Amino acid sequence: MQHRLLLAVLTLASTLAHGALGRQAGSTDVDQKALHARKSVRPGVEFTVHELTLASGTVVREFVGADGRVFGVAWRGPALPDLRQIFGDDNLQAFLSSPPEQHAPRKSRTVRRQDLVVHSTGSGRFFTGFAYIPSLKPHAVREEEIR
Amino acid sequence: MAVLAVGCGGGGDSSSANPVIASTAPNALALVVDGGPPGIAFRNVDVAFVTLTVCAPGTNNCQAIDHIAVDTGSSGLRLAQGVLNASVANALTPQRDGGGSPIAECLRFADGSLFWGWVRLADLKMSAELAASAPIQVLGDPSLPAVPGGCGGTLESTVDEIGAKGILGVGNFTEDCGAFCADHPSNGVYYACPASVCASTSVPLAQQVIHPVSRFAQDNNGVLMQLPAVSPGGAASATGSLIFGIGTQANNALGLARVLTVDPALGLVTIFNGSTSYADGFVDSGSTVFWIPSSINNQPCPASDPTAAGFLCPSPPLGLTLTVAGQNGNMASAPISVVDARSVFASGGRTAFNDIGAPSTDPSGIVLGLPFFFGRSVFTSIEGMATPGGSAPFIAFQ
Repeated sequence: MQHRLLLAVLTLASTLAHGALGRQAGSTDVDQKALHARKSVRPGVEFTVHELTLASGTVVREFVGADGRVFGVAWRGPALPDLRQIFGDDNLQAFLSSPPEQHAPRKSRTVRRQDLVVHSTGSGRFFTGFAYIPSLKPHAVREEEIR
Repeated sequence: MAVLAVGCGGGGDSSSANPVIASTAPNALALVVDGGPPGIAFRNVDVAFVTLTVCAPGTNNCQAIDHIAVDTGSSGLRLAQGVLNASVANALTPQRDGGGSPIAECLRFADGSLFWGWVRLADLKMSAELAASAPIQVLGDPSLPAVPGGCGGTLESTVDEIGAKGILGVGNFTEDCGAFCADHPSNGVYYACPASVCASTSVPLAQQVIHPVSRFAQDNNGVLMQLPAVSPGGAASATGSLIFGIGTQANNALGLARVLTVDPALGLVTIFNGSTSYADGFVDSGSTVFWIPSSINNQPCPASDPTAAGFLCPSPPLGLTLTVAGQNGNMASAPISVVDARSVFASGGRTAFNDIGAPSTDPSGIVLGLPFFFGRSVFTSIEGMATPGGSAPFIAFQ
């Protein structure tokens, strides 16, 4: 019983601590704080972009649909952002455990699942990528808009 | 989308490439493309290796280590778990912060893998060149604390996991992280480990894992990689040279190679395919293939193919006359060819190919990986160092 309570507390803690992708728009504030980022919000027709500028110079964009949930994230800059933070634990595990679509050890990985699409690439001082949850992505939004 | 001016190409005619013989010059190491360290779990293709010597600082307590992969896409030397013998490993000087705590580094990669290791000081001997007390990363030491929570991903430490005994980063940047890690304690890259728990910390530039060539007394402004041309269908192995310095000796003159400056923050060039530009262009010996995006008809191999899944299988072969453009406006022609990977892998046992590709993960990216380096001389300068081509970081090839 105690274990179950502890597990519930830990689960709640990790829910609060990690991962905008798939969660409510408020989680973008959690990411902002955890990543020590400046944030600006840019409303649009199909989605709102919460843009986080990290101290490294890397920019993380989190895409929130009309349902108030983060359906996609994208990043670009000199340092790889903490993917556990912006993906959440479950999405990170799905990314790490799925076979990549290309032969590019360390430097690149594309994963395309029914419940998650991730493109991550880069080396040295350049990293870019994007990820989204197909079931949450508004139909009118094209993949190439998640950048 | 920019449109190319007529006549801006040049320098990339592969027919002008001369056969390359491994140099024995005091500023050069033999560069070998083969399957990798004997006995490893998988056979590498298109990875170029050198042998270098690691010494405890200021001593003759040294060890030569073979099959260190050469990567112009990163900076700094990293050694796999267990490749150092105990007498050398235990004599390398720990890098410490102002309070005396040893420094470890979490290096995360785009595919979700990560390196976790101590930062140690070592004398690195490469041919007659010496990088004295250079900070390097030593992976998998038994004394390492647990990987911190902020360092998420799949840990790689061993020779089997890495496919090499180490990685020698000889890219455009002096340090692996740079000013960001010097200025921000919460960088998530460098950690101080006073006990069994580590905390992210800022590390001055001079103490970060460093491009070893930048620490040489001479020939310290960049590197030149030369690999011989290989025939279509590949070769069992290939041997060329990793030459230190640019324009410092008779064997590293820029010659006709055009200086193509890279983005000083990101290290990128622009690559054109006809009139279409790809902003995320990269010339990278540490990538084992040409990365071609799907906007070019790249034709990935069937996912079910046991040997070629993950590569490209274009039929007929994909011939591209790419143009690489520097930030300085200089351009150089880069004709490449990508063939059906099944056809070249079928021969078995070959490790050096000038014509294999994989789908680019980045839709705006083309990467000219090691296949590009066969039959060419490829220069990679170090930021801020004077060269006959200027001090802005650049690549150049012919």
